[in-house]
Amino acid sequence: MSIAVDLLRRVSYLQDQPQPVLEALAAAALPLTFTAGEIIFVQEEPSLGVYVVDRGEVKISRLSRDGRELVLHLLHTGETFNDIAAFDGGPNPATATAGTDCLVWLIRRSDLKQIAMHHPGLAWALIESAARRARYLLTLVEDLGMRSVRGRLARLLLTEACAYNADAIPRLLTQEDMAARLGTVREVVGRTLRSLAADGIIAFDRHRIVILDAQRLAAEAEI
Amino acid sequence: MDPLPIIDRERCIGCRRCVETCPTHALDQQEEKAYLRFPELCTYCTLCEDICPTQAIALPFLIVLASPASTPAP
Repeated sequence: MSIAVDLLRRVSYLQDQPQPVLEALAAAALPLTFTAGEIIFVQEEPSLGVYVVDRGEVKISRLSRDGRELVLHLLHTGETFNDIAAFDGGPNPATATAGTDCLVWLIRRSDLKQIAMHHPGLAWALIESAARRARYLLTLVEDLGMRSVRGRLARLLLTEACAYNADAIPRLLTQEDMAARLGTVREVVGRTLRSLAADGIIAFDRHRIVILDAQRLAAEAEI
Repeated sequence: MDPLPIIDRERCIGCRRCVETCPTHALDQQEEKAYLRFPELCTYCTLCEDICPTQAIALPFLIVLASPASTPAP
């Protein structure tokens, strides 16, 4: 089995790469399968390289010393993870877990480095990708440090509702899931949801959280 | 089918707090573990999730817009 060049072309920073570059990466890639809930790698352990999601969902998270989980990304087909450790050779910066049964491809750091040294266009694309990730992490730092839980939750609700509206794929989230995405605990999420409901911004309709006033929710999220 | 509360039997310690708290008596216990005996009675009030001392109960929610047209992008 070899990774499809078509899949590599779905990776945002590889889409403009010439065919020989994608073929070189494809030749170096190793398939790995995981069942839902299985750990792909653990934070702070030595990194093997960069991974590309082929099928399924991969959760990237960090655990605090008291065991609280902060979910950084939920990744799907054509998205990559552990890029930073593949670039700097350091340990895994986060833990990756299979959110569903999944197939991912591993490109070892040594192979990635060798291919990038021969193809400056790929090296530049990797730099741009690292810069985009740095920007995303700055947004996350701003969210955690400067927005209240209410503001962060408001942003999450809008993001999830818009995603559902756009592609109509049901994305079910428990209060525990929301807490992990926001860097807080479930009890706080529960209280904040009830407070937004009491203010008439959202409503509970059995298993649905309905956003009644998107403008006010956006104001809460400071969007 | 609408989602229902998820009970993690590994985490459940059989304390019965959820069974006694459920306002519609949808929950019961079997082999010292909580289970949703009457799913049709569940009103999704989240009281069982709130009271569970081991976080063994989780209620998944779908987040939707009441009026998708006038939504600012996050």
